Amino acid sequence: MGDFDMFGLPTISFVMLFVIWPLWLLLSFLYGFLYKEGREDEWDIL
Amino acid sequence: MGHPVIIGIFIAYFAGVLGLGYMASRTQKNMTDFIVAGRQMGPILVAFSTCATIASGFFFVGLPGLCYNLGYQPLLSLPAMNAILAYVVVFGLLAKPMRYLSEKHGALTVPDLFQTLYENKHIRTLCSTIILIGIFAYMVSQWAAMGIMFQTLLGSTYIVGLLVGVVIVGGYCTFGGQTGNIYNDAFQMVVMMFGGILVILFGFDHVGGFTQMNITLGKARPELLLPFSDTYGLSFWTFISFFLLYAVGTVGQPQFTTRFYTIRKVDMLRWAPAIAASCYFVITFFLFSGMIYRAAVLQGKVPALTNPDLAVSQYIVTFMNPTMAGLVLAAAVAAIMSTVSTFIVVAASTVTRDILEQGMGKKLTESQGLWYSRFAAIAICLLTVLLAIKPPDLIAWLGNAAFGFLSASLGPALVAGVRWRRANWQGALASMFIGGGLALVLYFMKTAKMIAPKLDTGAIAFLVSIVVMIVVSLMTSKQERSVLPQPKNKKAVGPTPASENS
Repeated sequence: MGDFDMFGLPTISFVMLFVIWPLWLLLSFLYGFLYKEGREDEWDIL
Repeated sequence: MGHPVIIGIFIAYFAGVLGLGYMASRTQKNMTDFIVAGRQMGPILVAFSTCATIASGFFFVGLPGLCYNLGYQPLLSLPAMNAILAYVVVFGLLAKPMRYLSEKHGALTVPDLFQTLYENKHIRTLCSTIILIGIFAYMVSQWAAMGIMFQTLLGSTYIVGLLVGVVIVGGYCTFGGQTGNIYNDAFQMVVMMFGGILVILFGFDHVGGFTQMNITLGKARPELLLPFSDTYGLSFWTFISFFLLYAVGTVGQPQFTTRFYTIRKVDMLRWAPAIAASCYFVITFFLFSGMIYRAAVLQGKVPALTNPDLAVSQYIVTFMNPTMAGLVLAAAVAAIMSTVSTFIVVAASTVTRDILEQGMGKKLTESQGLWYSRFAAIAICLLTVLLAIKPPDLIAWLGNAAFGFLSASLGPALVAGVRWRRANWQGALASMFIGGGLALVLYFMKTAKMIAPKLDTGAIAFLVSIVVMIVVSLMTSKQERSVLPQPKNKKAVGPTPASENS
């Protein structure tokens, strides 16, 4: 379990709380960086 | 009667909220101002507002209640792993096309957009009906959450809490319209973030720190520390359901998507998801209050709760001094108000714009449009408050059911409408009808214990709705939808340029 290292949390919860959750937050910043400004009447359509 | 400091903070908070509503009311001249805030909002206001709208009474009262019962499971299954993704998914799929099409074709509401996309009147009618059903159910859960908060913290009765809530929120929405709603959402978002930070900074000290809280919870039941469990609490399938509904299904939430209409320029949407997701990240700290209170119960510091929905209010009363309690309580009430206010505006605009003006063909002048919207807002508040007098026990699940219903009914048809050329009105109509109907039928069957599906009923209906949208569109004739941008590789049709002839 490694209780001390992981604040008493099991590995899966520790990873979700301290790795994946902040990663999802960073994803929203990635959206901003990758956003292409340009014509308003064009967007990707299948 | 509640503590004088708490009441003082609340009076100041309510004065601020009503003041912003009054400021906004001075900008209201017509229905466009009332419904889409004159399309004059900036990216920060829109981002704060989308976040405040999603963070509802379900989030601030229902979820901490679930965290009290189930530890980390609701936190990890819902906001941390899944709902935070919605900002990228919904903005990425819908923001640009919805904002562009709404201005280009004068769409003020989601039913307006559906008619623009599919050129079919039945779709508008069905969409309006779906929105009103979903919003009524959701609003009942919000009023109930507000009644519970006031009941515990101001020492009022549940009914008085409801009435105070309806007067304040109804007041600033009725007169301030969407502008008042967005100003207040932004203000309330700041209050909510402050509340979340207070919980994370001071909450864990009451149970011996973060690690000690986890150890206490884990000793009582190891499942309380897991994201899901087969033996206790939320299953892996619930986790998947939350992904489908809250990470993806948010595309069907009109209270979220109508925010795109209000922004000044399309490109201003660029950083809005990052701002909104950051706010959501901070306010999610609030959910630890349920776990902290449960750990305190297990450590024998406080008595166990009879109703888990009281976790937040009891946490505030027990662990905070009156000033901080007043501020955190204001955050919880802000969450409820910001959600219910958006519902009021969306429902009022659906009644005035989609049912009266477009559906029944009633011609309204600018001033009439504004006043009809205001009357509709008042009527919706009164009706839903009446329904909230006797709400179900765990309000989290009523909010969840309404969310699933809206996702299944509107999500696939809306995304396909702007992102898939082959989508047609038959597919949209079938998807909305079957998705919405199935969400209702399955929810009532589950409530009556006739079925016990592993996936959430709303998530099942959402998946079925996607399949129906695709299958029916492919099986029926192609609809030429001129509102969509032309394919980039499509050659221009017309006379050959003179230069090529020479």
